[in-house]
Amino acid sequence: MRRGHTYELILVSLFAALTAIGARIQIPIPPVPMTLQFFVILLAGGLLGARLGLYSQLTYITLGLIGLPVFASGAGLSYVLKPTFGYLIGFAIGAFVIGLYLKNKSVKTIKDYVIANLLSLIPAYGIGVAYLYIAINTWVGKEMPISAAIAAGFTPFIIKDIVVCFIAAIIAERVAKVVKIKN
Amino acid sequence: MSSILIGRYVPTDSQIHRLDPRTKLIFVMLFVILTFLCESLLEYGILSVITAFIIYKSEVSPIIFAKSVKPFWIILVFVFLLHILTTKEGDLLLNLGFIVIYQQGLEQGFEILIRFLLLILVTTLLTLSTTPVEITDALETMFNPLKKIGFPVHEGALMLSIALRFIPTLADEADKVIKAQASRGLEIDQGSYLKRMFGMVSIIIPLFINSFKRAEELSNAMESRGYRGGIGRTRYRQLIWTNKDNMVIITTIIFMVIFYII
Repeated sequence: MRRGHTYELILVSLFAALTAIGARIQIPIPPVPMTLQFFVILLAGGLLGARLGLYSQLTYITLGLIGLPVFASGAGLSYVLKPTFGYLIGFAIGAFVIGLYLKNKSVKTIKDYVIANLLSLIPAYGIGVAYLYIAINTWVGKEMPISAAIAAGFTPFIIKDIVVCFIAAIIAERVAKVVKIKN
Repeated sequence: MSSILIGRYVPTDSQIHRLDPRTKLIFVMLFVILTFLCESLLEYGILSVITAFIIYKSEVSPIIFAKSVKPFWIILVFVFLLHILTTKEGDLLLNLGFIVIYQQGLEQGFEILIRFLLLILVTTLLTLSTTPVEITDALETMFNPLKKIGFPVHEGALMLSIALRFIPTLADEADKVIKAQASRGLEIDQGSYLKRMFGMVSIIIPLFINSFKRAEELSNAMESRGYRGGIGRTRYRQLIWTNKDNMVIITTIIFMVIFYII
């Protein structure tokens, strides 16, 4: 067994737990209250790296699917039927993308974190909106143009998420200075 | 927050609860296939009766099941109305000018509605009658063969267990940090939106640094007690497969064959 393996394994678990807790801490910003969850996802990619960041999100999703009320609304295997389930997958891939972008940077500046975080929005919304579109058009059984899917699943959230990308970059840079991370 | 640990598990000592968690997992997978083999309202009817019987057997209050359907009711109504209003085949049943309902549409609407409902109910049944720990154990044993192709089965199950264990602990800690920062003047429900979002910085940084510390302490504790990964590790909780489990699986497969033929 590799050295540091246990440490990595526990870090991944704790980040999965933090994601679950993040979903429950809300900041009242109308129209939709914002949660800490998106911060945690960005930090998972930024601090743990691609592979471990992805694992932490997959662990979180599995926790929800086996019935823990860790998602924003409801839980259980039936959650995959929800048209918004794609965002969870998308953000997990997003964490991976962040880690991938930062992998070969020896000194990570706030700017690097910002770019990485913004890049993660591409898979997050790409998969999220695509899942929404497919869900509505297949098992929900209605024809919905892709433009309507974008209007419902992209436009209302994107500005808030871009702001979060910047703030999370500041946090990631500060935390990374203090803690011990092996990549 | 500590309620999150047991998830949606409702402890009753029913036959369903006492089944092996692996049986229940396999049953749910087979049941999903079963709903897609259904082609007529009669078959959906049979499946509904079976589901109702299992729910009765689980000794969990139907109200709890109804609550689990609640988050989906908008989708359910939407799907139902859509099929009724847009399908233009079969006999004309109702014509109100702007609302035209055909027989085919009504049948399709009901079929999709029942399929959706059954899927939600059966997956809910799994999580109501099985604790997250049991499901984790079942997943670990079932995916064990995947170890041969390098899939980290043991690690995955351990990560689930540790995350489960630490959700209440870290939630308490988050609570403490929020209160501590509030006493220092942090306001997350007042001021401009940007200010509120920046307020998160002073909550997240201590929370994360503490988590990294915790991870190091725990990994040291585990390794000093001889944890070396999954190889040669024995289990404290044993899963027991009984004849009842055989019966459940065999009955389900028989139904699948029947539904496939007719």
